[in-house]
Amino acid sequence: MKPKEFLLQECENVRSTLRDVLRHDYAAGSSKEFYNEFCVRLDFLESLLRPVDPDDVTSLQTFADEVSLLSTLVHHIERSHAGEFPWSFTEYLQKIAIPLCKENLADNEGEPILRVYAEGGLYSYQINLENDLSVLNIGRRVFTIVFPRTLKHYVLLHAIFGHEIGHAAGTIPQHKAELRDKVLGPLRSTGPLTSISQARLWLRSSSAPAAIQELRNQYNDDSYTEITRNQLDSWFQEFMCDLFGLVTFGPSFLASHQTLLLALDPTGHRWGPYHPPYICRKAMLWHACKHLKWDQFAATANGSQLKEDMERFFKTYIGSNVPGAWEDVFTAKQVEDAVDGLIVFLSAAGSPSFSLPDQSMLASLIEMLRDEIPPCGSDLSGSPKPKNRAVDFRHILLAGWIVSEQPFADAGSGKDSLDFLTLNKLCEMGMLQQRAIDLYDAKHKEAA
Amino acid sequence: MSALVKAAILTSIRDKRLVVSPILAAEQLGASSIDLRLGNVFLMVRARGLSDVDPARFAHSDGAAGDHALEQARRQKHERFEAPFQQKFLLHPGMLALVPTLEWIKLPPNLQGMVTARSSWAREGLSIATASLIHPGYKGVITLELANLGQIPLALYPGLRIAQIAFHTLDNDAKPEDMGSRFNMAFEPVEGNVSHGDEAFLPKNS
Repeated sequence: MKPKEFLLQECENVRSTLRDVLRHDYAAGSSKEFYNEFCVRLDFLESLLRPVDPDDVTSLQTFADEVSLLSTLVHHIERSHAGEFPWSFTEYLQKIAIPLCKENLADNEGEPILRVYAEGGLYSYQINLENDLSVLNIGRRVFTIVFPRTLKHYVLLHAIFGHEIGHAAGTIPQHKAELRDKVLGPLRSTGPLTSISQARLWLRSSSAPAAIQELRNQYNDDSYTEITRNQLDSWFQEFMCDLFGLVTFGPSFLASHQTLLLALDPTGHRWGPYHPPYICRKAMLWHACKHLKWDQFAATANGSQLKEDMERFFKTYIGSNVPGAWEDVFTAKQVEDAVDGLIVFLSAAGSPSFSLPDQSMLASLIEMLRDEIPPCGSDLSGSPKPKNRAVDFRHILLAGWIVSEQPFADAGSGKDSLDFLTLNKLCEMGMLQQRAIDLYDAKHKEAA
Repeated sequence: MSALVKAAILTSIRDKRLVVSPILAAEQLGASSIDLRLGNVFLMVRARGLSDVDPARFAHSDGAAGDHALEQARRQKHERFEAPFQQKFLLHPGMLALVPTLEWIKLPPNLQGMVTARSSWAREGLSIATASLIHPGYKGVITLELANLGQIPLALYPGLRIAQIAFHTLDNDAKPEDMGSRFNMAFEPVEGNVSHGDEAFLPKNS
């Protein structure tokens, strides 16, 4: 079989697989939209491929890449069963992410087609937006959310998706320039990372903490500190996406960020070609929290229990392992300007930033968790006419993280320990119940 | 032992002894019961998964994760579906499905729950007649064993009111050691273990 014939056959194979995946049920996103988009792409690809000269190897190579891309996407759909990821969380996540990934395309409103699937473990968190619309430049981008298969129920950790949203939003051409001005501009304006030479000096500085000096000795190689322009650019993308995470998901992002990143690098000081040291990211996030006055929320909390809970939370995720001067690569002013720029960007895009909950609401969600009840806006007053409340799913996450630090208000309560998995499942269930409350209330408001 | 009327049920909820969460509408509160809604998980018996349900197969194993045959038998017995709200699930005649309630229930030591079908669904052939007693001290979702006794498929949607729970007071509080249940703190249906406690009557090499 010649390459061209085989590629045409593979188009048929992709079509056949596409039909096959309709055997499954899908939760988030519409399989109809995805199916139609793929049929259009396949038809178009075949129409371009058929007239190609069988000896035109350059064109055939391009088509091979395109067919391969389609077959990979179809394969991911098979991992997209509703039972493999927390779809209630995903439905809420979409509301934040999709407005950021809209674009002005000629033929439609530019809303991407959402696909969600699960694979792998700790490193699997991803949100991808198709980079280029390739030679098939005809349709909508496919927006993919990837959950770690092993962490299906760990909704508290899923706050890390706030960071991934930043990567996806940065893919949209018209957002790139805006983010460069509003967020990256302030971050790059001054400090030890403004140029490659300064960054190298900073990494080799004698004032670096012992952990860094140990790393340098361990590698015994200058190349470890020979950071390149591309690497530095990647580091700034990571810093920017961390701010996305914090501004979109709130303090829960601090907790999931620390939990996941320190699990992957317990020293907190390692850096890689694409990722700056965790400890520097944490220092930046703390400036952002202070600017947003989240640290003062605890001070003004009504009731000593909530105040105590909030203080414990911030102590765990900010107060421990406090970054020193070397790690503090941005000034407070730089971070403040970047955060303000990001909030303006999110607001213009129609994506809701995190706002602190009403204190009584947060206290009530925490109390529900400590009583081993899924946290949501459920009316537990015993009223004959129950009035349930709207609750932002991010406030459920915050309550979950707060309770993870001390499952029971009275440490000596003698109750069984509420383990982290159970806590996550309670929060997941709370989100599902909140979806039911929201649907019911919306329908009844509409009827009224 | 007596059944609670609506006012007594609401008083128990107000006093934080009883939890039924969430109650979406006043219409869920009956004269002496609360309507329960269908949750989002469906555990279906898979016809090709297992030749038969033989308690002896499960009786003499410690259930360790390394026991491939046992785990496979358990996992292949059911097929699991998750359906978001507004997505249809068809329950065909003769089919058995384990489903959770949307509501999270917590019972105090002096109350037991009795779950029955709502008569409007029962008239369509939907049966949830089995395992209707909820022990005092239970917390979690309630697993309903749904069967379609009619002759045409029933379309079910998560969130529909399909069952109801009534509450009965007990003469005394149940003792803590008697309140443990293998299904306590359930977030979704799980397969049962029909050999549990009866191993003495089951052969070793089935």
